[in-house]
Amino acid sequence: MEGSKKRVLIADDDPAILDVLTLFLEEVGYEVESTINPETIGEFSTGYPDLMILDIWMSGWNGLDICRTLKGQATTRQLPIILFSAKKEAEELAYEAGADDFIAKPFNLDDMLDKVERFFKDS
Amino acid sequence: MAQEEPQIINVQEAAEILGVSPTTIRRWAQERKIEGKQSRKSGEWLFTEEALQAIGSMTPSSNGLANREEVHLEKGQHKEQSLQLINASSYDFLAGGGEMGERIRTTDWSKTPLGPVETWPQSLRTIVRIMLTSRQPIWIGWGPELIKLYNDAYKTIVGGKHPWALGRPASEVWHEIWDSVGPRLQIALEQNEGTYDESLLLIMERYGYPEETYYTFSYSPVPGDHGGVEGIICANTDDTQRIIGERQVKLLRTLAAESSDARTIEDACRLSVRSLGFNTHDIPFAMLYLLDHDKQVATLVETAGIEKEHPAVPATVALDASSSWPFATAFSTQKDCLVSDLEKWFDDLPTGAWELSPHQAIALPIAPSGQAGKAGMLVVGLNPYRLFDEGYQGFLNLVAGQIAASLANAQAYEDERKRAEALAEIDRAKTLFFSNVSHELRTPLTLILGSIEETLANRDGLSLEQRERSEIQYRNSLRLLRLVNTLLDFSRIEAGKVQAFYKQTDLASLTADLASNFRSTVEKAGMQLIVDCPPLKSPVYVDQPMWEKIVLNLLSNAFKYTLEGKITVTLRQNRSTVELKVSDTGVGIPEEELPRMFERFHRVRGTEGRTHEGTGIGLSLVHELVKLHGGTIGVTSKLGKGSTFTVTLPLGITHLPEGQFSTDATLSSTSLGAQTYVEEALWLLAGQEATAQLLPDLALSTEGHQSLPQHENESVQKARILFADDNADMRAYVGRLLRQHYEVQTVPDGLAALAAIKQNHPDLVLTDVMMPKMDGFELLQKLRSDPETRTLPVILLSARAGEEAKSEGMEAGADDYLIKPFSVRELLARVGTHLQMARLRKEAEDEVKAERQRLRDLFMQAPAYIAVLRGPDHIFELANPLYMKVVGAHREIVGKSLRDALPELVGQGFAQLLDRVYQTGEPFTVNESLAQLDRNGNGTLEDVYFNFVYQPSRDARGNVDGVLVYAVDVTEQVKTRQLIQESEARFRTLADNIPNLAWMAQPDGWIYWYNSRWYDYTGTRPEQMRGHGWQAVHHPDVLPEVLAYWSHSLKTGEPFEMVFPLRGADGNYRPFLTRTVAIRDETGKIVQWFGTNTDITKQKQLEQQKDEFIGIASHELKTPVTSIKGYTQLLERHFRKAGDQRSSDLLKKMDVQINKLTNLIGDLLDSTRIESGKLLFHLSSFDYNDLVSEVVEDIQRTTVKHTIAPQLAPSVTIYADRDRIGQVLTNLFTNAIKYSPNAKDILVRTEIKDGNIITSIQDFGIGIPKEKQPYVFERFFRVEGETQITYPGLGLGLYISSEFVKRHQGSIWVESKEDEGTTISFSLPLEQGPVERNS
Repeated sequence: MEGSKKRVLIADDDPAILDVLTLFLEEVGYEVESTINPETIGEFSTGYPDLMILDIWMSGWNGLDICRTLKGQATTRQLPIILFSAKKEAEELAYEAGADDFIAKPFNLDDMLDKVERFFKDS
Repeated sequence: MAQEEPQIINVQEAAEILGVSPTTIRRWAQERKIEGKQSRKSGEWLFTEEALQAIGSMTPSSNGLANREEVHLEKGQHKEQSLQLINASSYDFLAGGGEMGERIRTTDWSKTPLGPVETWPQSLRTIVRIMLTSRQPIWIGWGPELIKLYNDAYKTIVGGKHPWALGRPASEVWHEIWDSVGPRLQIALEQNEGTYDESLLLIMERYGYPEETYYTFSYSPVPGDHGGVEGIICANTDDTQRIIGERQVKLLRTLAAESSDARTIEDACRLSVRSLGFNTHDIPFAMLYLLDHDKQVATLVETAGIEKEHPAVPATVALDASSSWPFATAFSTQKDCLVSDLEKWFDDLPTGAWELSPHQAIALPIAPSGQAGKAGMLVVGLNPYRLFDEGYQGFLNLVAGQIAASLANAQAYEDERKRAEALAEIDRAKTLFFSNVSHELRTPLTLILGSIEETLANRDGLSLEQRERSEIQYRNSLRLLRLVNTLLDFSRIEAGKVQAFYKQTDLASLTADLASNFRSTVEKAGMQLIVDCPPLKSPVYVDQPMWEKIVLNLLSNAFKYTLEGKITVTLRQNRSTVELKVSDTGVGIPEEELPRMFERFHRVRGTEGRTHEGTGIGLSLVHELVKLHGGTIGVTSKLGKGSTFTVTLPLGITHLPEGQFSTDATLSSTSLGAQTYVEEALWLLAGQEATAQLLPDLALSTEGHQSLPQHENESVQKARILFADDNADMRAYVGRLLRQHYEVQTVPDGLAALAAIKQNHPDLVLTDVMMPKMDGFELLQKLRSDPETRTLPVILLSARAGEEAKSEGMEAGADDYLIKPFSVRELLARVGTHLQMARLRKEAEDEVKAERQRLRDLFMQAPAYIAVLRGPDHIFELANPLYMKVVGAHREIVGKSLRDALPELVGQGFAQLLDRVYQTGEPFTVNESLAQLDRNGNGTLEDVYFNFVYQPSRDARGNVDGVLVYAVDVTEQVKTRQLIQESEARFRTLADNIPNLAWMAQPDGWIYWYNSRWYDYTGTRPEQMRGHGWQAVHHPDVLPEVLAYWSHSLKTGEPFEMVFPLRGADGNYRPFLTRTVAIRDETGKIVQWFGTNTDITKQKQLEQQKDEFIGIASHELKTPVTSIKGYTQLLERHFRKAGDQRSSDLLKKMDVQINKLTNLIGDLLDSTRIESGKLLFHLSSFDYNDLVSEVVEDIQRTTVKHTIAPQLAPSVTIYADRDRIGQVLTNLFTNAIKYSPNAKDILVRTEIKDGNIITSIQDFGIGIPKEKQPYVFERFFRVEGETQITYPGLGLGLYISSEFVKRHQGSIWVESKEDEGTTISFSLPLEQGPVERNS
């Protein structure tokens, strides 16, 4: 793992949440790309990330739809996706859409880290 | 022997020969039926033998004469033989005839006026024969005294006078009805005319009390053997049951028909009770009460047959023992309750159809329908001439059932009407919710902001990066605060509480400043912010905080809807106005939505249904604020191109209200910006929230001593406590606290705890849940499985909050569960309570043993079948003599299990029932249960019907250790059940008339009837629906749930209330609210189910809208909380790494506050669902006067007109939810202010009475009309001003207050007089009673 930092892509319509997650994940050793504009997700102009963390209800775009689309394409099916939302009830929807994990807002950073690290344990 | 002298016979002899009485002979002689001469000397009649023979041959049988001849002619030769003949023939006619035949045969008639049987005339013999062979009730009166003879069938008519009545004169037997029957008998006897009466009312006294009876009977004169009426024969038909039955059915029918039109509860009461007045025989008088929502008092609604002012008719009846009417008992048992000796209590009671007033009355509980239904109490004066037997009781229960059904029906109407009204109120309701909630949210926010400020104040110690983080955090907290403030502002504007203060302002600078706050955000989003605000020439007056809100809201709105391009803010002066324009290049607004943009909660639909659109009140708030400035707001937009919002304010001051503006040019205008915006918000907050309230734990820890329950005397040996926790600090902290009162041992884990407990036998164990080696649950389980420590009180401590965690702990057998963080006071209070409970428990155990012995003695003598079964195998421990008798005295059952003792019961289901009672601990009652018992030990099973109760018996700890069987034999009563079944026909009449879908089902759920509306709606036919056919119109997805719930109701008898879709004739499903009540007979047994389905499509839609709204609001609140939390944790990490422990600790505290905030948001969701009854309470002990003073201070600040004058009793500590009770006080004060616009004073008093603290808040305002007072605590109730003044408010304040008070086991009530004012009082219990946490 050393030498090639894992890349995490975060999308949320709240800049503060993006900011704090970016700071945190960078601090613990990830390369973070964040976007407030989810429409560009799926273009992967900078290559595929190792993990995506998507808000479910984003402006103009629905994390569930993105997740469903990515999980439905052969090229992106393997991409791990964590969905998060302020609605606890959304958890079920998240799994239905094919998400690999879900976390409810507000969350503890340590919990978030646990969930992120779980995807890189084996590699 | 020629010319033999004719033999002369006197009256005595003639009577003997002819077998009639001497009187008859004389009458016959007078009437010339018999030829004779009257002696001149004595006036006595003399007859020749010839004359006697002549009359003798006329009679059908002239035995008397023939015999006499025989005797005369043969002079005793065959005397003995002849007498035998006489006897044989004279008793023939008495053969058979059952009991009465036997009695007549064995009576010595020679001692009665009828004389010896052999002397009875033939006509008497004939009718006696007829009588004895008849199955119709017949009696015969013979001779002038009408000596009574009667048959077996007549026995029930003489009743208690049998057999005394046999051979008595009729006038003696029927002295009480002689006025009625005497004259009729006279007609029959003297005029030789028959009489006939149909269903004549006779008040008989056969069993020691006068009794209403109806008989159809005829008196037929019976001639003696020599003509002339000698007696009467009377055939009877008993019509009593028929007459009473008919009038009862008639009443029930009237009741159903009359009350089916009722549209309100009052109507239903009035119409029902009026119908009762139609049967003054069975219901001489009646009165109906409705129980208040809080079930404390019953209020009179209607009477029949009695004046409402009569002393026996109290206007209200308290539900306690103090009232002369036993409502408390009837209500708590839900069984009717008889009141005897009425005349001792009341004079001049009305008599109804009778001459006598009722001696007895009955209070019948009227069951409420569903959760919201009204319970009532019907009092009926009882017919003084009728035994209060099962039939009468059954009838009255049907009446009560009928009224209950009418009330349920009316309730359904009212609910529907109220729901419609609620529609109009619903958005105001939201406003109030936000007002309540915003206050609560601001408390933790303040703490968070405080922490950040403290960190920032220490900025020299921070690295640049840390400072930046703190500032971001600060900004986000402010954002959240702003959101909350918006909600609060809005609700305050709604409530009319906001007063603007207009200052001359440099609007251009202010606006530019405000707008630039958004610059960095806008640019970060890749857009452009253009601010074009040139200085204005004329002075503008605005309320600065409001203007800030206007600008900031419009800007944030523009930002929300714009994903690329630019946002432009321009300020321009026109001739007499100033115009602010905020334009964006965003998504735009569909044309049809434009007119509704400023409506509250309106969100633009169609573009994308997403959270981005916010709570929908920002624009509405702006609109309100602009209106307060006398301005206007407008919007133009093009879909996909962008929107422009234009605010226009008048220049100058002429449009502003007098006294609310200042012409001093304000200096602060240029420096106003985000920072001042924040400061202003903080000032607002600090000004309204008392700081003491923010730090409850600190305040409490200093007075922990006071709160200790007074259970331990210092001189008594200290109780010993074991405390297990793996955190050394915690051990030290809690140990120190507890040592002030107890001996404390602390251990670091469960294993050590277990060892210490075995060795030292502490009085109480306090343990953390999460511990190494052995956790709290395992420790608990070990303690509970050891008999020695089974009853040792254990309190679990845990950081896991929530009801689930708590119930998990309680289920594991903990005595209590404390959630970290807990207050010192709470910990001490709980420890104290459980120590005391443990002591009491031990005392109780000893008491239980003594009690058992006493019970045993009692059982052995009880007049019922009683047995005690011990243990899971139901071993007979005791069986009383009657029980032994019923199961067969030959058996030895004590010491044997049920299976061994009564083997024939296997397979009859009793063992399973006993198992269930033993396992669940719930008593089980069965009526009319058939048991087949081998009572004689010969293998023949006998049917016996029992009513029985299986009552679990418990040991001192409350665990079930046996079952008590209590049974009575009801084999006879089973037969009478048919009576009740007649009732169902009556209910149909009612149900066919109601507007809802309705149906009736058998106790097992088999539906046998639907009203026509059901068929209309579903488009089905009866043969499709019968039985379980209804499932066909249910949605297949929902059906399993409906079935599960329905079978639960069928099993338990609980009312069924559920919303589910039903398919209409058009194939579409619509939601129906379905309510079902069990109709029960007087023994409580369910005889049928009555169900209604009400279409609630509208309500459903409304609810959906609301839920959606709440979901969005909570998302909006949670988003900033998420980032605040993230920053806090990040920052804390940094400080920790840098070794700055102080700052790190501060941030940890802040994280706790953030969690509180998160919880509060959760509470917001819960409290908005107050209707579904999901209220959460956070209980603590606190000083009540402190709370009152705080609230008074707060409220006083909001009003200049009113002065609140407190008169408080010495303070007490109460255990309650401080915030909620504070909210109650706030609500009451707010109301008092609102409804007394012209008064100056508001009084608040507290008083301690009967273990309660009573708080009264009095205003001198418009008051509440008497007829409306019962409804003030209902949802959406509002007081209407007389002079077209409408008072703001949504009618939820008192509703919420009363809900809060009630959940604290308190009560709330109102006293008011129109135009004089209102006093609302509530009481809260002082002792730490269990408070409902959920309901």
